[in-house]
Amino acid sequence: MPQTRRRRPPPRRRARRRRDGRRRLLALLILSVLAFSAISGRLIVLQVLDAGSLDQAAARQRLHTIELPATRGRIFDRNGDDLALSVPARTVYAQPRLVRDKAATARRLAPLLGRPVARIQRRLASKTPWIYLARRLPVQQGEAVARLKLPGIGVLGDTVRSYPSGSVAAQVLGFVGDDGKGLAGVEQQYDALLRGHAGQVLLERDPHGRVIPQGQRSRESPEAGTDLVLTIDQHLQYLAEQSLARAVKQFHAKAGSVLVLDPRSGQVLTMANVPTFDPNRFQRSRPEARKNRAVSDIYEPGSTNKTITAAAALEHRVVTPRSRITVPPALNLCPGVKTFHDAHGHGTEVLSFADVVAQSSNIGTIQVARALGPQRLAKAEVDFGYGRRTGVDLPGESPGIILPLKDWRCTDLGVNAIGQGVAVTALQMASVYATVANGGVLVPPTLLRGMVDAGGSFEPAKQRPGRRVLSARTARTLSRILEGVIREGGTGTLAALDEWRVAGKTGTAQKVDPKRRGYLPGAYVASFIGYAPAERPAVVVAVVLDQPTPIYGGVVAAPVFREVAGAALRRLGVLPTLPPKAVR
Amino acid sequence: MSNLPARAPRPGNQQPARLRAVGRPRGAPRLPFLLLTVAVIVVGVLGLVSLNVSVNQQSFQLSRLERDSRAAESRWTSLQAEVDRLKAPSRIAREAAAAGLVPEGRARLVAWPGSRARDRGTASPGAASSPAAPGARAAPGADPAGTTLEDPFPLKRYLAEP
Repeated sequence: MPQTRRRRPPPRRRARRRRDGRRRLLALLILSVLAFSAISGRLIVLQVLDAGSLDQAAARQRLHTIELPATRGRIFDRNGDDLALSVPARTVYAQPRLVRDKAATARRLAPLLGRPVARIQRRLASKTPWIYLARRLPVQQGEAVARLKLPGIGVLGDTVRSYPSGSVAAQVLGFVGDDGKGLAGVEQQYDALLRGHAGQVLLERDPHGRVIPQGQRSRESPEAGTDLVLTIDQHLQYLAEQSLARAVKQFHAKAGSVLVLDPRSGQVLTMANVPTFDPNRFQRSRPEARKNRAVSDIYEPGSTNKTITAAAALEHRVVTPRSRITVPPALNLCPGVKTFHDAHGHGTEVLSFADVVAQSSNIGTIQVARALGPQRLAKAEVDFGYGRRTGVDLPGESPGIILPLKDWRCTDLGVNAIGQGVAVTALQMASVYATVANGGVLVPPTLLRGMVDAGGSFEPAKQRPGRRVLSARTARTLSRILEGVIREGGTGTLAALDEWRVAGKTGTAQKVDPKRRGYLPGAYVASFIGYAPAERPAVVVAVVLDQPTPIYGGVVAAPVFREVAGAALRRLGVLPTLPPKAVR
Repeated sequence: MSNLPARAPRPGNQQPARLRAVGRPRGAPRLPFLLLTVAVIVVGVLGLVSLNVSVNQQSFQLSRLERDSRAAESRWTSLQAEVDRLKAPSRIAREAAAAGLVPEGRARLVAWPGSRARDRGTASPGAASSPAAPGARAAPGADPAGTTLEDPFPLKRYLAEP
């Protein structure tokens, strides 16, 4: 058998094979290095460069945050009685696709939700995956719905803002929208304080949405809002609102406002407006009723402005209460432009300055203003706060309108002296009389008495500094003159109180036509602003009625002053300063 | 023959121990060890389980108490709102009118001859008919002009409420 011998390849081929093997090895090595470099590069990208964002993306898939709403702060009146608080409620929702028998579900829900069956059925027929059926129901109603365990129907915890006293101080308090944000009044002004800070719970969930028992979990408790204590006294507020509503009805007025201030501290005890609304059902109210006229509506103050003219004249010693003023039947301040008259016709007469104010003589006041001069009159108006917001704790306050001195024409001295040609809010006017009542020091009005933090400690609000507008002597003299308005022969006798001396001034001003230049024919704003007891004032009361019939402030506004001021002084426990009539 | 001196015996170098055969070592009893091990494991596991159960029980209890607390707080708030509604000025006025009450009349100071008036001027309707004594003086705490010096609106103790 022949032996086959393997032949060794020739040396050149062997060398080539060896070279090929090395090349392959080298190629493999390069490929491996490239592959590992690619893997390493990707690893670096995943683990280092994108690590943060990928970690967050993973956490977003797993983690679920539930917001814990903060309880909105309460609003108290000055005595600590609740004016606004958040109470638990329930919201009923539906996932229409999960509702099996829509008709039967609607029938069972209707009596509990207090809505017609057809309406609920229409809602359930919606293509939307998730809808509200009823929001902010009382807890009992919501729980009753939950007990039915209807498929596709769920109940959520919620809160509802409650105003237990209904329409009392409605425009002051304002209201809260569906998103829990304050939309008007104090609710809007102090929304950031009242709403607090929401908390949250962080849960880890599996792909089916089930909570992973040992998963990451954290809880941040909500921080309740700050409670506010207002300067309003809700019982006095109610009395003022009732009194104002009666007057508005009796005198067929379009609207009205009443303010009660403590002249020493500037605290607003009452801010009443008619028409009004119930903040519990603010959606059903008219915008007119929601308006806080006392701070947002401006009007020409009329004769109540004569107090500023008188104050400036006394301060600059242009007149004294006994100065004799010649009052002609008419005054032609700017010949051919405007002739001024008094409310009641008379011949030429000579009155003391005190009588000019008491009888509210336009011509007498303009005579004094001429002696005073436009510069000093304009400065007095600015000093008393005209043309600037008082800074009271409410949104939407108007600064009023005042004509700069450089723009005054011939008649402006006369019209300003008697309170036409300027526009003010009721609060600005109340602040003018509070300044006189406070011995000439203007203390800015405020509605906030203090705050109560989450720990329950009360912190009084900081009082803004007052500023002197009149000397104490001028204020005293002016006060005595204003007492004359209430006495026999004055225009404000109906404001007199049996127990206390009253100082004040009536006002009957033409109403500006908002659409055209000039005044609305036959339309007047009637007012009475005063304080009591005149010798040491405890309250300032401003009453403004819009378009009453009859038109005179002394007839329609003064009786409201009498009622409200009397009630306020009794409530404050102020001792009578006049002897009882029965033993006189 | 060597002349080297005889080697001195090393100190402590006794006679080498005699080797002797020893018996097969007796096996240590394994059962107690096993029992002990099992017991330790069982006790450990049970201990851990019971600790876990206890912690979870406390957690459940805490959750229940938190739920109860929230429910109680919610109930308190609802009741507070109800109380507030009942003491709203409009309701009080309505109920008072239904009961035949009338708004308070003019305040009267009551002072017997030779005595100091203690009434602060907020008389009851019944007192409205009482004639004031001439020359009655103001109550302590009132200033000469008739206004009271103390705060007429002291804050209520609502701060103590939850």
